[in-house]
Amino acid sequence: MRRALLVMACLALIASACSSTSDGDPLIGIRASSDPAVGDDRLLFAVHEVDGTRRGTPDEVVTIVASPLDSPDVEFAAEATFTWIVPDAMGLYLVNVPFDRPGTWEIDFAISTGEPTDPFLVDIQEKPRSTAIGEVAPLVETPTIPGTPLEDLTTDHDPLTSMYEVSLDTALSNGRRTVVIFATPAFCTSAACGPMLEQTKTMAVRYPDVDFLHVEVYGGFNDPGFAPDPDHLVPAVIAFGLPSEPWVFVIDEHGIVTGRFDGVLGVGEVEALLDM
Amino acid sequence: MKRSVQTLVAVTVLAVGVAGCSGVPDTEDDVIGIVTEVTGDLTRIESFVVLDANGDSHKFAPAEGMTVMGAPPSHLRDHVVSGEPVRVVHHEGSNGELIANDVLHARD
Repeated sequence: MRRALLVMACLALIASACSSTSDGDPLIGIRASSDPAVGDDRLLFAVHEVDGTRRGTPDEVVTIVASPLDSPDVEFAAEATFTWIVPDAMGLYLVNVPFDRPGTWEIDFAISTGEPTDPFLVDIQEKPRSTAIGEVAPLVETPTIPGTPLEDLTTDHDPLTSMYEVSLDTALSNGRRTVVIFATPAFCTSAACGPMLEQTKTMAVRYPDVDFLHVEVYGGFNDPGFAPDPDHLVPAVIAFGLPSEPWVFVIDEHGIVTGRFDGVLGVGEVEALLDM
Repeated sequence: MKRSVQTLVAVTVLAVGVAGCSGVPDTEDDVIGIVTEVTGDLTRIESFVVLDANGDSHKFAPAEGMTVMGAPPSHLRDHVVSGEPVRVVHHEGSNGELIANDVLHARD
C-alpha cells in the first residue's frame, strides 16, 4: 500500500512538472530601437509572451531597471510609456535611459499585471551610427518638384506636396526649423511603417512655420529592373548613417539635430520639441 | 564481375561528388515565429533571430538575394517593431548554420 502511494505521488509530481502552460512562462522583452548608444537613449521595446503573442496596453504599466552587465550595482529605474502603433491592436513601450557607458546592459522589467518577466540585453555603442542629437545635420541636396515629378520622389500613395518642395540642404540653412522623415512606404509593408509618415504629414499641416520633408530611402524606384538594394540608397540616407528605416529627425534653425526617432513616434514626442 | 564493381564504385563516387558540389540545398525547412533580433544595417543584414511558438530561438544568415516579402532584408527590423510573425524558408549550410532563403508572411 505504501509503495503504491509512493508511486502515485511520483506520478503526480511528474504530471505536474509536465503540465506547465504558457500562463506560467515569463514574459520576454525585445529591443526594437535600432541604434542604441551612450547618452540619453530612446529605448523602444516590445513585450511578448513566450509563444510570440504581443502584449502591452496603456493599462499594463511597465517599469524598467537598467544595469551594465559588468556593474550590476549601477542602476537606472524608470517607468516606460506605452505607445500604440496600430490603435487598440499593437504597440511598444518606450523609455529614455541615460546609458553612461558602452557595453552590454541588462534591462529588467516588471509589469503591473504581476506576471513574471525575463530580463533582456541591449548592446550600447560608444556612439550612434546615425547623426546624433547635438550634431550638425548633414547638408545634402535632395530632389524636389517641379524639377523631378512627384511620382519619382515618393512611394507614398497620398503624398503631401509641400514635403517635396524644398531640398534638404536648403531647408537646413534657411533659418527655419526642419522635420525630416526617411521612409519608404511602398517597400515597408508591415503595420509599423505607415503610421510614422502619416503622423508627420498631420504635423506638417499643424506647424506651418516648420519645414517638413519626406525623403525616400531608395532612389530610382520607378526605373525598370529597380531593386531596393544598397546600390539604390539615396545620398541623404547614407549621409545621416541610417541603420534602419523609418527615422524622423527634428533639426533647429541652426541646423543642429534636437530630436531623433526610429521606428515609431510616441504621442507628442515631436510636438514637445516643436512647441519649445 | 570485378570490372562492373569498379564501374559501380566510380559512378557512385561521381554521383556523390556532383550532388555535393551542386550548391542546391538538399532540403528546405521552415520556421514560423517573431523576429527578435536583427544584426546589420540598411546595406547589409548579417543575421537575424526568430523565436518560434515553442519558445525556441533560431539564428539565420540571409542567403544571397534573400528578400523579405519582396522587400530588402533590412525590412526585418520593421517586423521587430510590429511583432508580425514571419515564415523563414531555410536550409542548413555546410557548417550547420541556418541560411534563410526567403522570408514570407507567416500565413503564406
